Amino acid sequence: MKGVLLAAGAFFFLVALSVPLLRLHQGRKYYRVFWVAFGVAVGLYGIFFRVLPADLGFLPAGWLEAEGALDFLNGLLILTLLFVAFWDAVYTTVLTGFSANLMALLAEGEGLSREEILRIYGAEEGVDRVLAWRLPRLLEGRYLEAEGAGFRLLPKGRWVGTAARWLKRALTGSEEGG
Amino acid sequence: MAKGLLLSLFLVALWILAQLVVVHAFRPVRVFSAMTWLFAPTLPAFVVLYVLAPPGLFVLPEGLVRESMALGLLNGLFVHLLLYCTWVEAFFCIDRPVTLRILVEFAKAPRGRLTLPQIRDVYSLEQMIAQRLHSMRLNGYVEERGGRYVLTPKGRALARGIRRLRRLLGVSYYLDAPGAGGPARSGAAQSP
Repeated sequence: MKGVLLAAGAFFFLVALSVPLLRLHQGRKYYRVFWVAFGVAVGLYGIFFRVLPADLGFLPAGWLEAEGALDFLNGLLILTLLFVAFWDAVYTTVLTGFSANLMALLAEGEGLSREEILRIYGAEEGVDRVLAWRLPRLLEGRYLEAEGAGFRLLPKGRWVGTAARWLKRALTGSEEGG
Repeated sequence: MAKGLLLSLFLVALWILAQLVVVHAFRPVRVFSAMTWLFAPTLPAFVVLYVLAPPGLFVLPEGLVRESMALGLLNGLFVHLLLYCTWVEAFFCIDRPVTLRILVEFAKAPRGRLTLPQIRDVYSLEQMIAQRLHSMRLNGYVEERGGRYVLTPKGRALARGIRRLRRLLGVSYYLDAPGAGGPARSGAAQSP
């Protein structure tokens, strides 16, 4: 029980720390802020687990886990799973999710027609805004390479693309989606 | 604790297996609903197995079986729910990302080469938006009224939450960031 309570405390600290860190962060790779907050939370969890008594000064005897290592690992597992849920909800859904942004756009005024949505995302331009943002990052990350009038998959991109293709087919029965 | 964790892992493995069978055999339109409905019976199954199974599950050493039954059960149930969330997140992290889909299309292309018009042929913005709107409509977030997509009360509440959280964290959507060539309606997704 000590591990669970400390993990809960560390998670609340992680959430509270993420807000000012994100507000202070300059630059676009703000996912790193979440990892820093997680690292600090795990460190504090470990320190507090080591220095505080097994009963935390208030837990009744029946609530104590006999095996300290198991208590520690159970708390660490809970903290990690809570972080993954937080990361997914905040970073991959609210901050960078395409559907979440579409919903935020639709919340304005009296909704949007399909044509208006397409215009917002630059469908009428030579390269729409989604591709215009993604392709340079794929080139920068050495997933793709510019070649002639197009692009060529590099080994890193091939590995990720093939793994994603296999996983999509295994989990969803289709290579589409996204 | 160890008993609850092992039982949860066992049931989660069964659930994932059942999900794979259902997805491939029946091709459900609403995958998230199917996943959740398949997960629901694992909760009572967990409680029943926890109460009926021997403390050490025939495999745990003596040192790992001394625990309060109620606490072990609650801890196991909590971890079980967190594993459900983690798997759902993992599923959508593979199914949804635009970047992964682009790389999949390159991996499918002959010699891994595509030009811009070819990328648009296999994965266009129109297709991406149509797919998202379809999914949002199926899940009750959006409805089509007179050729316009409008949020339902459920969608409006979620959109409000999204915008408040973005404002609290002070982070704009990546396409709205300076230099990203943001939407034509500048700051559209983050205005109050």
